Amino acid sequence: MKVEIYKLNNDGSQSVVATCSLESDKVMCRGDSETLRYLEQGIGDPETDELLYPKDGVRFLAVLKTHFKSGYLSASAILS
Amino acid sequence: MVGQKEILTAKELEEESSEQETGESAEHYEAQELLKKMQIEPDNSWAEETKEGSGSEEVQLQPWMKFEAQSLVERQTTISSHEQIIRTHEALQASDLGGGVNRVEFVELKDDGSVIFKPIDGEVPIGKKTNAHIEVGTYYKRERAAYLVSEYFGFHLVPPTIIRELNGEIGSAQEFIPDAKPAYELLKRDRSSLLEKLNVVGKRRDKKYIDALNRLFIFDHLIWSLDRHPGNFLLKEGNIHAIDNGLAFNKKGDEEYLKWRAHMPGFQYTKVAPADIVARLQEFASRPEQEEDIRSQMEGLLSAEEIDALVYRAKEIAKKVSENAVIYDDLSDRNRAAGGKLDIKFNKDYEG
Repeated sequence: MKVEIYKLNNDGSQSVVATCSLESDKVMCRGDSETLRYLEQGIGDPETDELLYPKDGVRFLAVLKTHFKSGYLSASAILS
Repeated sequence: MVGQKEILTAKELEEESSEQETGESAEHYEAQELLKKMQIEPDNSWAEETKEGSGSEEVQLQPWMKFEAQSLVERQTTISSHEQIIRTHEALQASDLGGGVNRVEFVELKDDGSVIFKPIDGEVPIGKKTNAHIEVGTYYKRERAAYLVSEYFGFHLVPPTIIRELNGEIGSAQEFIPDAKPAYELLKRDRSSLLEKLNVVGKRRDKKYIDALNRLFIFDHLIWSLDRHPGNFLLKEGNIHAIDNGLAFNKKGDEEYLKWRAHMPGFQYTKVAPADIVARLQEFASRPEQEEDIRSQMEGLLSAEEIDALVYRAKEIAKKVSENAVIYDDLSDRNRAAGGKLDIKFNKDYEG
């Protein structure tokens, strides 16, 4: 299970800036250093008002798409 | 288009899992087991949210919402040439940006730039708790309302945003800002503030960011945005572009709002209010006819209750910045007044 985070380029194409995968019970993210640093600081969950971290596993994966939804940055749904 | 392949919603995961009782692959079996495990946990709201927000779930809009959208397109009054371009130029290529929740498209316009298009039909519920008061089918209107408020009060933070029909769908179309960076790219490794980071860098351009961040804080308070984070405001050449305002004009209480904002990594409040914004808010509070202006602009975009709340906040913020704000023309004076640190929080009175 993984989530990809895309950055929008000027011509409308997209580049993958980070990929977060579930490994055991934790999420491992790989990608550009700024995005990874940001993800490590936690992502707010609009459902519970709490910050979720990669250690939170699937819950962290699931919240990425609600956080990155502007179009400039987009997170996929959970991919197989 | 990126990200459409291999998308597996929680619902599909369940279906696939039930088809392979005998276990076709270890990976699928693990996913099934994980799903089961998560479903029996006390807090499994993530799973429901995944189903709702997968982007593949149809959300049934009320029929009147479509009529209303058409009516808004027709009676919309544009206030700038940028808006006029976005409103009238023919759409060329459109690409779905493949996000996991609401549908977002990048649309190139003939002869002039591109827009970020968010169709009403692509809206899905986001955050049942935080955004419980925000109805699906209204996000596109909030995008437009946020732009109008930004312009009306002189913040100039939101890229020109209009409501239009593109390729047979109605939604918000917002000017695309090329070469802009998400704010988080300037965050430090720890949780120290973006303001501090920019102050250390100390370039003239970055000083402009500090002023713009002060504006952003007040603006987000005004439009009651619970969704601002360093991933949805952009930095470019000293300017901040506040994007992704579809969940603004929320109705949650002050206390909840400030609690949420305290979570924002690398973003803290400053008590330095930009002089022009203070003056503009004071002018608004002292001239009743301006209240009628903003009410008129918001009509059809927000509910009567939401418009009342906006006007109330504008007056309250005007009062508070008048009482508490420390305003300096020069950054070094501001810095001295703040004890050498610009990223101090609002005092209790302001926060309350």
